[in-house]
Amino acid sequence: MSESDDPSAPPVPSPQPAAAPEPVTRRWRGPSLVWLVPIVALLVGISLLVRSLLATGPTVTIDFESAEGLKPGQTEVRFKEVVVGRVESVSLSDDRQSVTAVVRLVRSASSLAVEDTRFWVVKPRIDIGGVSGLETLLSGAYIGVDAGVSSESQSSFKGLPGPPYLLRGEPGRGFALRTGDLGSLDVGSPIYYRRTQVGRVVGYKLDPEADEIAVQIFVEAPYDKLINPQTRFWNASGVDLSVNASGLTLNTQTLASVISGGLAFERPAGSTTLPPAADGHIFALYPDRKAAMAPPDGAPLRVRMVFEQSVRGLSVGAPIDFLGIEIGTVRSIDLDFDRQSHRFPIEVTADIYPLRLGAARDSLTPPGTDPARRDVVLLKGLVDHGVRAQARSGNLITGQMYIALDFMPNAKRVVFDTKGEVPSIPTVPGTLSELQPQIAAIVDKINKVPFDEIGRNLNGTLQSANKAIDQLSPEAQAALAEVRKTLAEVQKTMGSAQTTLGNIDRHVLSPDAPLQRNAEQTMQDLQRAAQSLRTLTDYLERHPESLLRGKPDDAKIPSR
Amino acid sequence: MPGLNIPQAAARPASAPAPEAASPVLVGHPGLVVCDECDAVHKRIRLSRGVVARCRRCGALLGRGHVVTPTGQLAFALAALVFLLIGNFAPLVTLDLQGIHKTVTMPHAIWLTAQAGEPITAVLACVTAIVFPAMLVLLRLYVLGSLIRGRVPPGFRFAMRALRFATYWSMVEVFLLSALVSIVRSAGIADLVPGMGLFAYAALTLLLTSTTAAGLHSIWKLGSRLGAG
Repeated sequence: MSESDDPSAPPVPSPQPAAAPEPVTRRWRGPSLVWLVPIVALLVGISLLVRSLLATGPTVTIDFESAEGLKPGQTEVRFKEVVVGRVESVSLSDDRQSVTAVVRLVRSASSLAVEDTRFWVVKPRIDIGGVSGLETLLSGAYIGVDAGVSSESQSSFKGLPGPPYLLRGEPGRGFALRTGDLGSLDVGSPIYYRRTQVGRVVGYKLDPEADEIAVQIFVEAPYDKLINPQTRFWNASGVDLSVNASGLTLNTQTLASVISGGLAFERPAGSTTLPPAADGHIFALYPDRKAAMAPPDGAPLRVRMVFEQSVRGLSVGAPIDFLGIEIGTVRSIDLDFDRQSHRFPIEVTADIYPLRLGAARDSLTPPGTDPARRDVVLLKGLVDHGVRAQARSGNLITGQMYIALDFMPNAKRVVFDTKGEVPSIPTVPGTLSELQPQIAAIVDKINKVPFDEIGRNLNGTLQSANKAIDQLSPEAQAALAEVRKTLAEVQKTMGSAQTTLGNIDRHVLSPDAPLQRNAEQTMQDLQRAAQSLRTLTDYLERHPESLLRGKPDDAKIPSR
Repeated sequence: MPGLNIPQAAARPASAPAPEAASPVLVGHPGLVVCDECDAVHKRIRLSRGVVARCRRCGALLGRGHVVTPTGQLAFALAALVFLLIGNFAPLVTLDLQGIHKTVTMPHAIWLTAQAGEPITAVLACVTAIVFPAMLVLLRLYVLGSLIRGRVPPGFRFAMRALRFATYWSMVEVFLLSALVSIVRSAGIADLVPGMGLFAYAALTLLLTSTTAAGLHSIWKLGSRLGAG
């Protein structure tokens, strides 16, 4: 329509007034309102797209040992139990050594994709420490994250085989222990203080240079304050069974530590007020509590001793004992050959810890000696006073030996060389080796006895005896018959003797024998005679005159 | 006003092609309309909005006066395409069952159905809820896009027949209803949270219903007016 757009323009008067003028019509040129519908749909779609794009963060790839429990599109990545991503795909790595999981993180967690972030698959785990990850039994495994703090972003990671033993930001401190033997320790082994778990082993590394193992431990706060530079650690894995004067002692940490290994520590008395040790402080790890809590030994003094006799039973590590106190250990035993005397001296090297002599060490050293040589001087003093080394049998059952330093009453004087690098302690033959020559002499004497000849003579004697017996045996038989006869005779004789004895018994000894009766009568008559004699004598005592006058008459009986 | 009944013995030129059952419009006679059910021939009339034309003989629906112009149908088809895309790429439902957290999209859900040992169901769902709706929308876009610019697209008649077929087999509304039923039924067992995809399917249902309700007559008419056939 090419009409004027001005609606206020007055209508042009038509030349034919009969017809009414037509109104001006206009078409809506814009699009129909129905197009709002697809526009709204598009807007919805675009907003969804933008939202999902905004929500998705970076993609990272993680290499795992195996894809166990990883489901593409389902397995979540959780940081502190918050879902921060999802596994998109799982595939075999190019070298077929591992599986590669592609994980899409949410945008808010994109800061997790940095260099020192660690990922691991959380699965149900059962170990000595207990059971963990049980919730994944139902929900399936998920990938745990330990957020890194580095500023270097990284998109491909190597997954850990298990949960890291030390999470970042965990309160506590790590220390290192140096040991020559790991024992049954493992990552995760507990650390006990008074049988309470206060930490764990978080790793260990064999250092080939130093030829020892560095064990990294972690002690949780607030217990990390218990660790001061004087703290002693020991391996609590073992069962410490000791027999001493008070009987049998069994020392163990908790049963779990016996099974799975563990460490324990203690602070020596008097060190409890020390400030805590710094993070990463290196301690020595002792094999047991006794060694750990022993006073420090200080620097050892290397000595040598030459023995002229066999040292069977003496082994490396055997104690050196001074008046019953263990002051050192044997380090090496070497056989030597002396061309002049054609003997085999045995050279024993040992470490002596002079600190173990305690106060004696201080009082024995003359004042003003060079501190570097003081222990040699001390040793010289002891040797001058008759101290000698002697290999003694420490255990009669096992035959183990130890070396005793002791005052020998009749030791010959020796010159003790203090100049050499390794001082040599003079030795005396052991008690057992003194016995040996005497025993040898006895054996010699026994050897001289002509056992063979004696045997032969004895043999001859026996043979002739045999012959004699053979000859004698018929005569002996005859003799035996004679003997029997004689015995019969003897028996007869015995019978007659018995009858005779019976007669005697009847006639003489039995109570009604005539002899007995006669004897009894005679005794009774004798008794009566004695009685009448007694009356007579009594009467005569009272009336001696009757001998002259005769008996007086009886008194008259008064008549009634 | 109902359309005039045209006697069955309506004179038909011998040269005119026989009317096809599938097409209610007699291509040679744009002024006539044939009942889908009983093949009675009626005169084509213009229906104003809201008026329904029925067959004089059997009462079957011949057509209804509709608001949606071909342009509007194109717009709806475009919107439907967008929603179909959203419905297939956005998460359909999120399932939460005892710590198992699973978000699925439509194709994934169908795939899982197949994996769960129901391949026939999966194929049916795929065909009725994805393939035919997509065919419907794309064919409409193709045909209408060309016709509105005043050109008859190549393969117009074939496209129209395919469109009719797709219209019968597209069952987005059935799918939507069954999805809602599933969500309600499994509420006690698991937490099913409808996602954006399900809402997109709901919008798609509305749009497809409104476009298919417009019928194909108008498109046929437009095509024949432009000299299709």
